[in-house]
Amino acid sequence: MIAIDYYGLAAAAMATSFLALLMLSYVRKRTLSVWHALTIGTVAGFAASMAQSYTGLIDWLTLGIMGVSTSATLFVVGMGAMCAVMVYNILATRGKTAVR
Amino acid sequence: MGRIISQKNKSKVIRAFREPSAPVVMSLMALILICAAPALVSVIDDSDSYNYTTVGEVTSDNIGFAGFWSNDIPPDTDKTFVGLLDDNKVTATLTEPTSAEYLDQYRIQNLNTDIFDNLTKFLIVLDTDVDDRYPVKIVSGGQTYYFTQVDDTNVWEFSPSTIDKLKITSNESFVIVVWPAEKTSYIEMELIPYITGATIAYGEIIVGATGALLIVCAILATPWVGTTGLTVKRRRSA
Repeated sequence: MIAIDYYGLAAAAMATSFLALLMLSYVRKRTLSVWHALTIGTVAGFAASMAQSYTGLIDWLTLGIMGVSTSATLFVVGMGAMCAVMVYNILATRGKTAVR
Repeated sequence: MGRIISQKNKSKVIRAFREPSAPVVMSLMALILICAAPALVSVIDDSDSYNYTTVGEVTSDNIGFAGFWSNDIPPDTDKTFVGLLDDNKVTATLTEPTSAEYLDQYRIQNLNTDIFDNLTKFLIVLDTDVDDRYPVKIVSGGQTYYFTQVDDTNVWEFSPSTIDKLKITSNESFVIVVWPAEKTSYIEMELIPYITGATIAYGEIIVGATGALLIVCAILATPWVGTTGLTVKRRRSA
């Protein structure tokens, strides 16, 4: 039986969301379709997996989400704050800007 | 006339190399921080793995022994072990030696993970050859960490990274798994964990500092706070 690592999944999702939001802040076209979202999501997921294989980014996020290490938790909080601010800015400006 | 043309060209050049806007700088900085911090940590881990000083002691509150048995094992086969952990030496013996015919791997269980707190390198010296296909490994919390063979000998080593150590110590115990090359009813090994007296957790410091910087970036990315200070909306006078 394959055990699902929920913490690892959450960390991967977080890294992908962060990179997707960062890419979104550079996209000029503001009327995004499902296909735009899929493309950005795929590229962000690929970038996240590359970051994991070269730097262990998702491992650190997993440790932070698990609460094993205080510094990793701080890292997760920082990334979460950045994601939250970008989402807020996108919603508040109706998709015009992610970082103000 | 010539002067006017040169001014036009100059303005074009200036426009081409204009300084990036604050959001661009902010998001680039966040991206660099996110990728650079773990990368730096992995580089430091590689350079730091040879600074071992003393040999620690592997402990266990309730050491256990188990095996991985082949599929054709008769149901009435005795699967029990007798074993001991004493002064970093582990011995494991099958209660019934004939059962070794069906035993594929030995598992030494319930070893305490606190040895990994300051560990730099973990050596295991075996008295038996190991199957080439299955290197010695430890398992902790569902994750597997492989040892590497030292110069084709029966010595196996593992230099855990900061992430490995944190992952392993997040569990209470770990398991050593050995797959002997030939069927045997007895296995003996010496555990040599090299530990440092005082470890400066560079990795954690870098990642923690990056987290703090990201929080600052997040605050600066809000519409209320910018690099020039607080942005407060003026109230309209009645």
